[in-house]
Amino acid sequence: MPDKALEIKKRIGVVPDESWLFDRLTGLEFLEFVGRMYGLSRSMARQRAGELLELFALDGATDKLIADYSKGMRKRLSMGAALIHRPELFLLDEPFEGVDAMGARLMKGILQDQVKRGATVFLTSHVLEVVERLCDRVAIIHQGRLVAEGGMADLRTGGDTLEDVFVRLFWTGVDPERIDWL
Amino acid sequence: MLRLPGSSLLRVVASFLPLALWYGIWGLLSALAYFFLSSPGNARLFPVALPVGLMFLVFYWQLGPLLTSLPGASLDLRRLSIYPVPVGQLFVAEVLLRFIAAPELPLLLAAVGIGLMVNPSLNARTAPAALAMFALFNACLAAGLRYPLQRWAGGRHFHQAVALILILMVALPQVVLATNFRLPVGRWILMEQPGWWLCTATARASLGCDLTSAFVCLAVWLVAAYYFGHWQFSQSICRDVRASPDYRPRMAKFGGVVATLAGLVSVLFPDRLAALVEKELCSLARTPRFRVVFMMAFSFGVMVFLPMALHAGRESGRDPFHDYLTIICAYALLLLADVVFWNVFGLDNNAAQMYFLLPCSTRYILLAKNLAAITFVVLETTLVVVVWKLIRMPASAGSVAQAYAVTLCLTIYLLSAGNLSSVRLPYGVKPERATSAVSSGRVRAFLLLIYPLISVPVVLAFVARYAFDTQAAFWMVLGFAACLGVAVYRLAMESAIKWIAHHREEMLKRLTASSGPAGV
Repeated sequence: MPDKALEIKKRIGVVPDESWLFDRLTGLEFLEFVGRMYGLSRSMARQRAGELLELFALDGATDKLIADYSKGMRKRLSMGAALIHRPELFLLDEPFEGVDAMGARLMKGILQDQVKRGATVFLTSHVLEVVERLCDRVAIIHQGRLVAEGGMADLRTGGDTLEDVFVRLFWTGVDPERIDWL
Repeated sequence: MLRLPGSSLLRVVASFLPLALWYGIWGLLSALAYFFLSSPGNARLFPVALPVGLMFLVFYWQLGPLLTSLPGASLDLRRLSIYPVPVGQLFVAEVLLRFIAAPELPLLLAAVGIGLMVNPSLNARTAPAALAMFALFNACLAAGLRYPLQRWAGGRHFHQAVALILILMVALPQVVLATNFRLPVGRWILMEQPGWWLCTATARASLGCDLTSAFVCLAVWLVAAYYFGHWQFSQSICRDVRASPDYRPRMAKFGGVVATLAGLVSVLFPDRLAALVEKELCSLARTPRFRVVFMMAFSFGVMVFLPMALHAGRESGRDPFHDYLTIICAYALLLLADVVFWNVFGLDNNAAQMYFLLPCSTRYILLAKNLAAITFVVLETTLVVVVWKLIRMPASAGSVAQAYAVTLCLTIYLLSAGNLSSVRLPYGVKPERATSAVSSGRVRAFLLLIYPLISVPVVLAFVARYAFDTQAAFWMVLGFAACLGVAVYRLAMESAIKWIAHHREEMLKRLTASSGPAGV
């Protein structure tokens, strides 16, 4: 649907990889920029940007360039960028990678609030414990193919964790004990 | 769709051509040096000419990479520092890379050495040894200076000013030559260099005069360069920018000068486009490479052309300065082109992907980058005019108008070609590396072919003025060139948009590619 691409993008909030942020902008400038790109007025975008920085405890670094942010700060800023226009669908790629415990708790809480107000959250993660705690439905992709899909209870049979299921299905690695010196 | 050279043969030719031209020029210089130095009739000039020539070589070897933004291969110390390799070995590798990065200089020195040796009126058997020590001195010094220079150029305020002064020193030979060595510094270079001075000692050792004292001086210089280079190199390895005591988080006041300028510019455009333009202006102004080039354009550019303008002023009775302002502005445009035209996504690196997540069209993205470029070009031209007036050079309203008009007309063509090269030959660049070129080797090859082509419509305006001996002809042809430029720009923009639509992934992949431990 290339002709509707812009309209569709407006309804989606993507949490970008932290390396996709514009390093030479400040956190406030970046959020304001993203807000304006989603059609918010300059004043509205600036107001929301300030509030989001405060929410994610980044208000102490308002004038700091993103280049000087830590990985966790960049992740939180990415999350803020996804929220600024109140999207209906969130796409998150490894959202909790490199985020400290407080930040992760905050982000999870926000995502759960968004789900309560009717938004859909679509997240990818290699940390299956996070998936187990947050998701209603799970799809497992292996080597680019969708190999399993369903509700959490359907996939976790007999009290297995998702990690157990995944390892049972796909383990092809070498046993470390076979390497003498390791 | 417009097509760039696409076949592999054309690519090879395009890559080879600038190298051939560059080394051809140095080969020619080396041949001239050989013929000059091997002629017995010139021998009486050598005690004066050789130290002067060697001094210019020292300038070029040490500061040339900073000036030309072609630093050549070097070790990536940050990556290598985690491995247990002795610093001494890394330093030796870096010294060797300083030779490889500037092979034209050993070539020239070899020609000098052979020329002196075959000169029958000299007993210059020691020339190869003396020149080898001179070359090693320069390589050790360059290995030590390289990283501090990069840091300074990428740093803030004081350090950046030091880097700029060093860059301006590269223009010194031009000034000295243009003033026929009448300035004190010129007289010093020509006649008053002491015997222990590196270049004089090398010349004396090469010409077979006072061999013992000359070689002792040279050895002292070499040992000093080795220890200085090794010390600075070790410091660079140990230095973690974030842990250094002078490190402060970079702050950028939203209400700063650039942000204010960005706000003013963006009042003229719809909000999404305005946001993109503001983002571009702020990002560029905070990029060390851009800042260095921007400052060079109105300082170094004026300094390089000033002696020629003064010379023309003495020779000609007609308004000789009329075109020099235009030439300086065009030169400034050339310097800026690397950062604002040819690889507009390069400084964004991975972040270029962000543009395609946001609900904005490719046309807007390119247009915003072009508008930011035009803003900086106008600002740069204004600064050149201001500097020109500050040093009390004559600038009539006509010459100022001509400078703006020609610069803007050239800008239209540069934007057209730049949009195409930016999407077809993108290249990820680290913004903090102030001395790195922003465009890739292939883009530079493309530029070598495209620059003369781009200049043709503007050159025709000057030809028209010469042919009809009237300014009206100049303005008419320039007006036509501008209209043609707008048409070419639109065509190039459509072509770039189509290319992105079909090759976005390829483009992003190129932008995110990273280099190994020995990067260029």
